[in-house]
Amino acid sequence: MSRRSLRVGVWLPPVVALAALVILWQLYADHHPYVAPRLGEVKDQLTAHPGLFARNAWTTLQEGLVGGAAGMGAAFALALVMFYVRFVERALLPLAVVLNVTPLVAIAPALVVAFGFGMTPKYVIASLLVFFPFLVNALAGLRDVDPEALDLVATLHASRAEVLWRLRLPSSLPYLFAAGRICMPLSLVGAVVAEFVAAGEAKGLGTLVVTAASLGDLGTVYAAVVVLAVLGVAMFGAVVALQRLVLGRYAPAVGMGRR
Amino acid sequence: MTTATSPSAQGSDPACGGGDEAIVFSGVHKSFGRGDERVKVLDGVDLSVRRGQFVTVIGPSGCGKTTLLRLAAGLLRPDAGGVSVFGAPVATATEAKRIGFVPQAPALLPWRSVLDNVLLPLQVNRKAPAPDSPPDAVALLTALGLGDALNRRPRELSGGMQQRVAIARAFVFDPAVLLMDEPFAAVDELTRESLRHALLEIWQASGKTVLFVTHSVTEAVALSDAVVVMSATTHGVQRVIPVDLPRPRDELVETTAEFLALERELRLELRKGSKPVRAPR
Repeated sequence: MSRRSLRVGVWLPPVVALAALVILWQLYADHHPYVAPRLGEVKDQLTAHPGLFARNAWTTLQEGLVGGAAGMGAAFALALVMFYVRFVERALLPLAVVLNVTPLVAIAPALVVAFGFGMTPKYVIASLLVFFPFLVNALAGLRDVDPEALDLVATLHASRAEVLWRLRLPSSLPYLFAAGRICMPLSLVGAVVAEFVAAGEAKGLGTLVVTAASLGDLGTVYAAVVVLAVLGVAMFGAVVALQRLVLGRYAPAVGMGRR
Repeated sequence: MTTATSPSAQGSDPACGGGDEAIVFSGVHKSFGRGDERVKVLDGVDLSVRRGQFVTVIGPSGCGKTTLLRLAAGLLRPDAGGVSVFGAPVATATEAKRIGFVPQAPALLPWRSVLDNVLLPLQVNRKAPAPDSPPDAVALLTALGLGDALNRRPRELSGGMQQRVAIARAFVFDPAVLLMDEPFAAVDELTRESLRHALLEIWQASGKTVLFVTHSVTEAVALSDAVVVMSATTHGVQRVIPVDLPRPRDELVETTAEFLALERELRLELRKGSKPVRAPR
C-alpha cells in the first residue's frame, strides 16, 4: 500500500506540472499567436509532414552522433596523453580550462567559411562542444583509483599498460558515462547551431527552424523543437541504458544518479 | 643487527645473506616532509627476518611500523641504508612476484567478483616466473570459508569476508614473503579472532615468511614466532621478543599461562617505548 502511494507520489507531481504548463501555454497562445503557436498547430505540423521531420531529424542526429563521438574519442585520447605525460598536461590544461568556458559556438560562422556548407562544420562544432567536458571528466576518472589497489599492483610489478587496463580504465568508466550523459545531448546543440549559420543545401532541424521562423511558421519551429527534445532524451536514455548494462556489475552507487 | 627470531642466529652481513635471511633491513633511515616539517620516522633500523618465520611488528602510533613494511614492499625507498629480500634488492623480489602485500583496507576491485579479485595477481606481470605448484584459487577461497561467495561482488560481503578475499589474493600466486599492514584493524574483535586463525591455518603449511604489522598485543603474540617492538622515541627497534608457543595454535592457546605472560611482557615493553604523556599545565 505504501509502495502504491509512493508511486503516485512520484508520478503525479510532474504530470500535474505538465498539465498546468500546457493550459498556461494554450491560454497565452490564444492571445499572442505570434509569440507562441497553439499546441494543436504544432501537432498538426508533425502529423502532416512526418517524413520531413524524420529526414531532418536523421541529419541532425547523424551530425550530433558523429561529431560527438569524434569529440569524445579525441578528448579521451588527449586525456591519456595528458595523464601519462606531465609536461603535456601542464602545457595544455590551462588552455583547455579557458576554452571550456568560452562559448565555442561563436566560431560556427568561421567554420562555414573554412569548411563550406556540408557536414564538416557541423561535425566540428559538435565535437568541439563535447571535447572539454569529456576531457576534464576522463582525466578525473583516470586519477580516481583506489590508492591501496595501486599499491597492491605496484608490489606485483604490474606494467603501466596493465595498471591502465585492469585499474584505471574500469575506475574511470563511471566518470566517462557521467560525461557522456552531458556530452551526447550537447552534441545536438552543436549540430543545430551549425545548421543555423549554414542553412544552405544541407538539411537538419536547425535549418528547418531557421527557414520556418523566417516565414513566421511558428508551428513548424516548435514542432522541430519537440523533435529535438525527443532526440535529446533518446540520447541521454541511450547513455543511461549503456551505463546500466556496463556498470550494472559495479556498486550501484558508483556514478549512477548524481541527483 | 637485530635478528627477529633467535638472537644467536648469525646473518650479520646482509650483503651476502642469500641463505637463511628472508628480509633484511640494514641501517635504514627514512624521513618524510621537507625543511622544518621534516619528520624522522626510522633512524637506523637493523632487523632481519628469517625464512619461514612469522614476525609481527608492534609499536605506538608514529613509530614507523607501516613505513618499515612499505620499504620492504618497495613502495618506499630508504633515505639511507638498505632493504633486501632473499639477499637481493626489493625491486628484484617484486619483479619476480615473490612478495604478497596485504594492505590495510582489502582494496578489492568493486567491478570484479570475489574469484576474479583473487585472480588479479595472476593477470599482471606475467613475465615473472610462475610458481611451481600454484594454489587453486577456488580451493583457497573455500579454505577461507568463502566457497559460496565466489561469484559475489565485494560490496555484498562483510568487512571480515572482504579481508579473507584479500588474504586469498595474497596467497594465490604463492609468494615467498607476505607483508601485511594491519589487515585486521578495521574489523570487530570476534571477526579479528576468526581471521587470525584462518590466516594461521593457511599459513601453517605454506612455509612463507610473514612480516605483519599490528596494533594488537594479543594478535602479535598469537600469530608470531617473534614480536618486534618499535619505539616512537628512538625511531627504531626497541626489542625483539621471541614467542616460543607451540604450533599449530588454536583459540585455546590464548588462555594459557605462557600466552598471558608473553602478553604481559609485551605490554610492559610497549609502555617503555611510548612517548611520555604530560598532563597539560
